[in-house]
Amino acid sequence: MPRIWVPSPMRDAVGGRATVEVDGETAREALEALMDRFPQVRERLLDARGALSPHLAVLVDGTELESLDTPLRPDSELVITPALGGGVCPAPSPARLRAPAARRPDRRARRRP
Amino acid sequence: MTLAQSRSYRVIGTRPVRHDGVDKVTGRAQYGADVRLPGMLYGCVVRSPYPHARLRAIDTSRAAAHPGVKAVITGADMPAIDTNAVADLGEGAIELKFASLLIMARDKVVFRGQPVAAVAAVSPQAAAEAARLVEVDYEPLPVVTDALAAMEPGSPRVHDDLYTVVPGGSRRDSPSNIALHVQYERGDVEAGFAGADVVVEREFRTAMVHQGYIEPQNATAAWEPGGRLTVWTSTQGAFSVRQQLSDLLQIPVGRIKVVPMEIGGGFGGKIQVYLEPLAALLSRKAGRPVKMWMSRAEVFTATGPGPATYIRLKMGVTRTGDLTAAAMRLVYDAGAFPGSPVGSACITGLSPYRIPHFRIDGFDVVTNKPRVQAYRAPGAPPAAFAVETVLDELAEAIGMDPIELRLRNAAAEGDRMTNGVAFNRIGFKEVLVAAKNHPHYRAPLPPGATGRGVAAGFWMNGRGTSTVHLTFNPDGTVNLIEGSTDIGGSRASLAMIVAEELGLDAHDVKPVVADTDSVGHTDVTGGSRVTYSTGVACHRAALDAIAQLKPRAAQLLDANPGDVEFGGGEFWVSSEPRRRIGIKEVIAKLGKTGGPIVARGVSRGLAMAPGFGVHIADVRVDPETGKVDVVRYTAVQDAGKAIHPTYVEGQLQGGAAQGVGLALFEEYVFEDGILRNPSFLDYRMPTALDLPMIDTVIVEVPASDGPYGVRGVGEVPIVPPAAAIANAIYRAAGVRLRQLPMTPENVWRALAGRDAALPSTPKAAPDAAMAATKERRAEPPGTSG
Repeated sequence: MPRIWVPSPMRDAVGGRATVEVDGETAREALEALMDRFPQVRERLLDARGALSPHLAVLVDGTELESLDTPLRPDSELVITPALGGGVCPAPSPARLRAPAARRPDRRARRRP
Repeated sequence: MTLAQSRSYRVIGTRPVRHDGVDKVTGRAQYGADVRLPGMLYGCVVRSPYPHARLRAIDTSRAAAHPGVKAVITGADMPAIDTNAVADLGEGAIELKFASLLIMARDKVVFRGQPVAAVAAVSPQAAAEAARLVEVDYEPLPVVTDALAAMEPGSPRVHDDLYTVVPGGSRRDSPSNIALHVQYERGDVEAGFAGADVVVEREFRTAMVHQGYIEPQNATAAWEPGGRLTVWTSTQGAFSVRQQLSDLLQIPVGRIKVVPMEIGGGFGGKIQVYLEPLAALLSRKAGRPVKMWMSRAEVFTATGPGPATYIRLKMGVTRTGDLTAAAMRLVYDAGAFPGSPVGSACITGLSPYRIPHFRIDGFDVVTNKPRVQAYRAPGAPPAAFAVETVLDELAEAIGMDPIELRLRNAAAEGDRMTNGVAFNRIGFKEVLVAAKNHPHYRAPLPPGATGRGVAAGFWMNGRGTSTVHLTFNPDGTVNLIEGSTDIGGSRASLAMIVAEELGLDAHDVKPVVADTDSVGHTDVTGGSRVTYSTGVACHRAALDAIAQLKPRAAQLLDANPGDVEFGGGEFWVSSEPRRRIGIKEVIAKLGKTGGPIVARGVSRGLAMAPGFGVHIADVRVDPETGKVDVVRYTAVQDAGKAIHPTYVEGQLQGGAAQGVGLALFEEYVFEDGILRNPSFLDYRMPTALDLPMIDTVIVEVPASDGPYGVRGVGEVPIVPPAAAIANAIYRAAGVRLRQLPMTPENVWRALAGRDAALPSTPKAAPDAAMAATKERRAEPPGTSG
């Protein structure tokens, strides 16, 4: 089950946990699962337009997230971390990474058998 | 010296003469200053004499009327940018609206040297004369030049519309000089300190320093009537320049061509554009090409140095040498606009060590000084200066060899950096062992030396995107078209990778650094990413070439393509190995087997390849003057795989030399926001006379990704020197220096007991002297007999 590392300023929204294990075969599904389980995360993770906050970066298995459809392995790690940019620090997630929630289809239709 | 070799190579690991060497030593290489175009004008920038002032009015009429003047621009000519969009420069980032103001002020100036107008004329002299005729009405404002002072609520505000971004990403409601507060936390810090036997808490300060590249910034722009813009410039990234020009001038990327000229040093300072947009606007207005360049004083006052910093660090350790906790507060002075490298400092400082409990608070603070830019391992040297000095103190306190303490706590694969990302394969422990086993570490101190220090350094190393193309010539040679501007010998290493895979000699591959119209997107030369990332692109392009050449070889061998194999520069029929043909012959006959081919390689999304180094420094401290001489120096570093060992060694030596400079000599000296030493006469950089031979040891622990395990090497070696030298000074003279640069005056003051130091708890236990450490001398000058 993929694991999400939550930055310390966001941990109050996930019951003080540093990591949360979630279901999901893609980054989008994993982040949706996190926000479904901890609704307060949504306002921290997304900006007013429903895109990933420009002040946060998401790394999947050590590589900056380029698409919310990035596939995950069962042991994948997503790290949410301050976005700093500059080539070697995680850069803000691209603006095209639009709202996981806003584009969320019917979960029942997407649910795997 | 190189440690740990694995598979053998024909070209990789050899030391061919660099491809651009002859042109550079004979003066044929074309730098930005060499650009000459028909009808070319010369530009000159009018800069603010005030570090902080409101612009009441600008009158350019006299300048415009001056003989020979063809165009004058002010902030009104720059498109207004009113978004919070961030330009990720590749090594460093800046909000676009601030980048625009950095290039040309509008309503007020926020550092001395900020452009307020620019002039283009038929000669440099006419442009300079006209620039003096631009009349600017300034209303001086209060100035703040110290980051800690700037954080105080009553401090002069540099910007009225800057609101602190706090941990979690929201913004504060009231304006402040604190642009960003970033935070990383793990475990229970107080419990961690409670479990320590020794806790040391110290404060550190480092000065604003310049990269000191030899070639000043320059740009030539030609805005053609059809709206197409061509810019020739000295840059670390042509594509970054193109994107910045597009963003700042609000013109489509496709209308801009950037031609990267040879570059006379950058070290991170030649990514941000300064003159390029001004030359472009002047060219558009004048209808002729415009060339601009900076004087050395302009380089110092109006480009981007490395930040001044304040760091408070508390660390705890058990008597057995296990680090238990750390608390780190970093304040980085961004200068006039947000964007100091405090974020990378928050990652690089403590990530090399397993520390179960920590809290890191980093602050990006604006002041009325030049806006900082990337400088070789941006942000890391000050953080390492603090961490590695405190580690030395902790090792002494528990009576443990300082390398042994580091080894005991060194991060390894699977351990997490402070931002939560797990390390893949790293060679920190191997580097520490190599340093510990190096003869330098155990040798007696050389004549004249009085102390030896050691320190480690870490840099994450960049990855990014690179594109290369290969084309083929009838003589069997190959053109390597790449977009990575060559700062540190990358042409040679990239050509060697292609040559290795194609079975050619290094000089059968001709590397060409192309303009933005002639090669696919390539990120900047920065972050120590080129040999790794562009190298992967070269490797992929070579494999693509082999795949395309195989059917041509099959034709020439009269065999099925599927039956043809390749290796060592030859194709052969698998069932009849004696039927073979050399790759050069296949390339030479492309015209007869179907025409030319083009191979390509793209790298993107590579795994990280972090780098670690350990430096050993022997120093002599003059007790009467406080002067420090570096007598012997060894730099040990993991290169993953040294493609061209000479250039790896050169990077290690160059980084160490720059590190010695910021450790002992270099600092911006400000007086009320005015830089008092904007020349190489007064800004003291180390020369050959200040340095011993810097010995190098290349350790090779392959990176997780890439064909050879290559790691970038350019930035790590500037990280350890300051702490290594400070630790050596302590062993030589008995005083801990916690302020850079450690000038004779600062050392002398410390020797005289005039520095203020926070206490450690409990006080140090037995001295963990290294084998060669002489008896410490703690007496102030004049009393040591």
